[in-house]
Amino acid sequence: MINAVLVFNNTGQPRLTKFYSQIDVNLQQRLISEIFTLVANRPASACNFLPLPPLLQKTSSEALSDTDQPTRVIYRHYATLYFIIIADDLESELGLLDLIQVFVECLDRIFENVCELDLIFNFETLHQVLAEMIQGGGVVEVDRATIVESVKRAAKVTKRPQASLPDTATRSASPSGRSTPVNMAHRGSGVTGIGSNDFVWSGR
Amino acid sequence: MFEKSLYDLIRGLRAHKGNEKAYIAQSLQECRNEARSNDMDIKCAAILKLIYLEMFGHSMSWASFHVLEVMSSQKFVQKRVGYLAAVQSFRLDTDVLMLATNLLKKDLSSPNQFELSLAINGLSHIVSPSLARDLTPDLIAKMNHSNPYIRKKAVLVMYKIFLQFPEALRTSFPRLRERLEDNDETVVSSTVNVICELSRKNPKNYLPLAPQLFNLLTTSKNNWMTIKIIKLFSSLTPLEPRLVKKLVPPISNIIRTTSAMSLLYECINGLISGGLLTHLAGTSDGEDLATLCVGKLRGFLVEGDSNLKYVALLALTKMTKTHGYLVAAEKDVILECIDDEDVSIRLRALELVVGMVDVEILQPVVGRLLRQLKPVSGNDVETSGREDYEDNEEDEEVGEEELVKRTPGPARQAVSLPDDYKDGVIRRILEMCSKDTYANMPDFEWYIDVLVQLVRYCPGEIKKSGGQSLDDEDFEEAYTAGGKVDVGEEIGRELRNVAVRVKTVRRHATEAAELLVGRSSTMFPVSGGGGKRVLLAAAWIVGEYAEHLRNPNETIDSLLQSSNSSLPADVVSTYVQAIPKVYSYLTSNDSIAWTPGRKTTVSFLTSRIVEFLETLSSSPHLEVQERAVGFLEIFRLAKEAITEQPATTNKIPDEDDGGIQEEYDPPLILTQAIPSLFQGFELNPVAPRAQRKVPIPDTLDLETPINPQLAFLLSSADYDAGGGDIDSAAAAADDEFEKFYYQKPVVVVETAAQRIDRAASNNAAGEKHGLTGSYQSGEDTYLDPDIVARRKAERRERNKDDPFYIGSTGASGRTTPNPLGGEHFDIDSIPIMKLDLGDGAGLVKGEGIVGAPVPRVKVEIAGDEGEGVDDGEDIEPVGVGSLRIKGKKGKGKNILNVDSSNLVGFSLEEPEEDLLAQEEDVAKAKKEVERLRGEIARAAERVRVPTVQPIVEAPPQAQPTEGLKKKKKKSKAAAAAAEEGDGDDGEKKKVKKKKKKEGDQGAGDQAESIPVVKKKKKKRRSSTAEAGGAAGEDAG
Repeated sequence: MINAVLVFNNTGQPRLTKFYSQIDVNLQQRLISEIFTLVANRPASACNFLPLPPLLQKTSSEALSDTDQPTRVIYRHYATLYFIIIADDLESELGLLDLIQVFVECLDRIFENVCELDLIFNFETLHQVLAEMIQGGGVVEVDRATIVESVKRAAKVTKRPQASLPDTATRSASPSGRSTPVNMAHRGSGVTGIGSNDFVWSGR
Repeated sequence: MFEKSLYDLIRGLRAHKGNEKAYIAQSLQECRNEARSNDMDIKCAAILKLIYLEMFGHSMSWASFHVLEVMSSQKFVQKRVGYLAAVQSFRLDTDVLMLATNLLKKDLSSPNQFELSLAINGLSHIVSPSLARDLTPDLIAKMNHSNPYIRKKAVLVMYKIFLQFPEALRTSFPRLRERLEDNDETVVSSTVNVICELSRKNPKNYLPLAPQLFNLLTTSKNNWMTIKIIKLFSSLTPLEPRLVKKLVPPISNIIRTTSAMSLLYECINGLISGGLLTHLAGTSDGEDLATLCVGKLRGFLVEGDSNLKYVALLALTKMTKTHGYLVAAEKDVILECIDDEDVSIRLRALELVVGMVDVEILQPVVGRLLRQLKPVSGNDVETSGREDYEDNEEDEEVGEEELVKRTPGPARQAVSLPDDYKDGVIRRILEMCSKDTYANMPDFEWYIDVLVQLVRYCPGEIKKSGGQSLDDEDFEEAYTAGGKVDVGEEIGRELRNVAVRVKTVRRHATEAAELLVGRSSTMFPVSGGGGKRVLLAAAWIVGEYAEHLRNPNETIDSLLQSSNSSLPADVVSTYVQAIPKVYSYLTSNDSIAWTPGRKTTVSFLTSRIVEFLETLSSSPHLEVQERAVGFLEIFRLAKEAITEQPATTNKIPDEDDGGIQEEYDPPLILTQAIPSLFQGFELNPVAPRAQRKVPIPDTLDLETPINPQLAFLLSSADYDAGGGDIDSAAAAADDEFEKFYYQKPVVVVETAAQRIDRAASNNAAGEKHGLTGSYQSGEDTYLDPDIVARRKAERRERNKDDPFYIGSTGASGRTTPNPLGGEHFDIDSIPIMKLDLGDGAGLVKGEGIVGAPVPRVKVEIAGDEGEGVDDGEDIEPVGVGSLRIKGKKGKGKNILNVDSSNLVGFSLEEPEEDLLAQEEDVAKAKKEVERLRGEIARAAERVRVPTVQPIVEAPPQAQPTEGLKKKKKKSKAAAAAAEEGDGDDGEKKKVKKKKKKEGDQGAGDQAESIPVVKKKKKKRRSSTAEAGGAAGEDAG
């Protein structure tokens, strides 16, 4: 089971929070800030697995009695954004790394060169993409084309003008934010990157 | 009125940088108003904004009713916002949840696949037991939906349903099983996902699926699903050993052929955690497979990708249990990982190394780790002119050199290590050194030096996040949680262990303890700093083995320092205990003439002790106080005896006096009484459970009160003290008591500057001895110079009589003070070379390749007493029992925990006895839950019954924006109508009319509409009859 998917930027501002277990809002914030402190101090060359933040650490007794505990915190860092997945040991670590990659690629296809600003202004879409991939903590679809297709078709149903994708209106409306394009070359190996021409807004 | 859209809100947030709080507060207020609007667009926008703000920690639970309204909107866009809000903000205890049943039912039957998927996705988050029960039939139907897009989601949501309503598993399992044969791969994948989750709770149920799953494993091209299937099988194989044989060929085939690292890793992981390798261990198949796995994992380590390194270390750690020798063969690459720049990889590697250390690699590994711990300092410059020392280094260093290719340090050490990492490393070092009662320890003297060195590297006391205001429970929990003892204490324990168990190095250990006690004021400044608790053991050793002390006079001096009373209470109490022991050693020797000089010395020493103990006799810590008072009396007696005992005068016996010479012995209390307190049997290590083997004597009666009048005495004592005085006195006593038992001692954190000072002073201390270490070879790089110097001096001393060892003292022209020191030189300390022919033979044919093997000193390590008898059988129940209780307590604490207890042990077969036979107390608890659940269900029923009718009857196009509010009104009306059984149509029309009026008013004046909504909500909870009556009144 995946317990949570989080996206926040380099300063710890959340951009997406999705918890698949119901927890209190204050706890959510504490968890985010704990993970942020963990992740922000890591050198770029470090591996993508985080030690459990203090909130999630289990006491020795629980370790034996319960198997549903989240045991892994996996992150990926793209330009200004951190993508985090918290999961238990029925999920594959490396698989989840790929899942983040799929997520980012899907966003990239929908927004065409996704940047943090896109995610801020279209956070509903962000949720939709995620919902097409993960439902209630289980991975439901990993095929990029299918995910993108579903989101786009659902968007057509809405017939809401500002939800038309990609949201060019939003982007042109805030040109100042895109002043410094940053190549979104992500690190990590094994999976190919999103593409060389990805530009990203440098942060808010 | 101008309403902000989400877009405006975000822009506004960005514009109000630095002043966001006020802006958010204002926006929240606006949202509050807008959410009450009757215009669905405004309401929806407000909800969307609230979702956005919720992300930043502003709870929107108050808006749950508005969320429900938006969810029931006819427009997909709005509905979607509503569902998103529900997903983000609804909790199991959200009260409007039970109102959502019908809405979900309706959306689940929507012809629009996106609405349908919206409902399914929403349900996967907000499902409650009653929702699960009510919606199960609908969802089961959806599992056969014509569109795979719906099927895959419907299948996946079933797991969430099962969690809340396990009974659904029985009815839906056949359907679920069919989905394994689905022609759409994603549906199959979802099904496997669900079964995988289920089978972890109770794998027995899913054994019949094995053939189907096996088929999928061999044919599937979807890596995601293959990973899940392998995970699934690894929970099945322990139950069905026959599966192992079947699984090995396809899995090893995947391992050989796949290019996906994640799949490869999961295959290996599955082989390990499914117990396949364990099962096959010993057979040639199993060996081949294990070799294959280790080979692949080695590839991960070598590849250079830190993620692969990490997982490979994880897998190797698991493999050490079954195939330790295979893993050990890869030690070259694994050891490299200990120095990896990524701390998480280091920790993994460390964990692994602990499991695989042997005599040969222990020293190099510990050496590496110590080097990591060594604080980064600027003066790491080599001192020249020490080269000659290095040439004379012993073989062990050479061996070490060859094993460990040290990479140039500076770059690595530049990373300052976090304290908890240091703490972890120290614990690991201790763990691997002490493993199996020191089975891997090649050299205990080295170990003791390492321990002393570790004390210096101890990180400062780890501050708990809660700071110093921890109440006792937290404190206790924090301490008992990981079984965490202070590292310093841990080191001390090791030191004591060695001192007790290994007689040959007892002298060395005692000297180390002496050093620690002697330097305590410089090494452990009052201002904090770690490792202080090592003194607990050090003081004990110093007392217990006082005969091995190098300089007992100095030691007792340092034990008596007045600053010692500021040490932790338990340390002080061991000090109090150690003092008389050392004192007794110093004074009990009756062969030393009782001269006036001697008398003065002893009496002076006694006075000092009395003085020291007097200060402690009023200590607030009971243990310290008790011991101090006890010994104080003894020493007062001793003092008296000493003053009364005249001394032997130094006068030379005079012939004229007829040979009568007055000779006096030392007072008996010194030579007999005090020593007898401490002499007795030698202390031997005792197994932790040995006490339990001692039979309880029949005559032991713990029931009868010792003093039957105790209660009376106590109460009369209270009464006697009487008056107002007693309160304050008792309160003061309570305060002290409270302070001692329940408050964490205040931790003063040492500042960096102080730390540097201390380090400098330590260095200075080393320098003063005229011994600067060189950083060239082995130990020098991780042991502090003074320790190294001592080691060298000792080595020289040891090799002094060895004709094959060319002493360096002369060559270097330096004189080192004899560490064993002047008068107390003990002839026994010179080791006598034992010629061991067996060893020699081994050496001759031994591997000269690695350099000479580490010379292993044969030492006798005392095992635990009572170990042989102890079968450890009775440890289980106690442990489990306590764990259970703890687990329950902790459950609420772990926040992301999924409560799946419903599914654990849930059988697919009809329940009856099976379930009932399970623990009775659980059943009792369940009954209570059941009752509550029934109540909820009934409440839900009450809500549901009346609503069914109007939905069918009411024309759907009638004022869609009115939404739920309207529907509810209608339902009430309908209920009322049903109750009264007449005027059906007329009533309803009236309601409608009234509603319209309300709506018109409400549009202009929002404030008025609030109480209406609230009133309705309240009524909803009351019984049907009431609600009906009330609605009737409303309508009428």
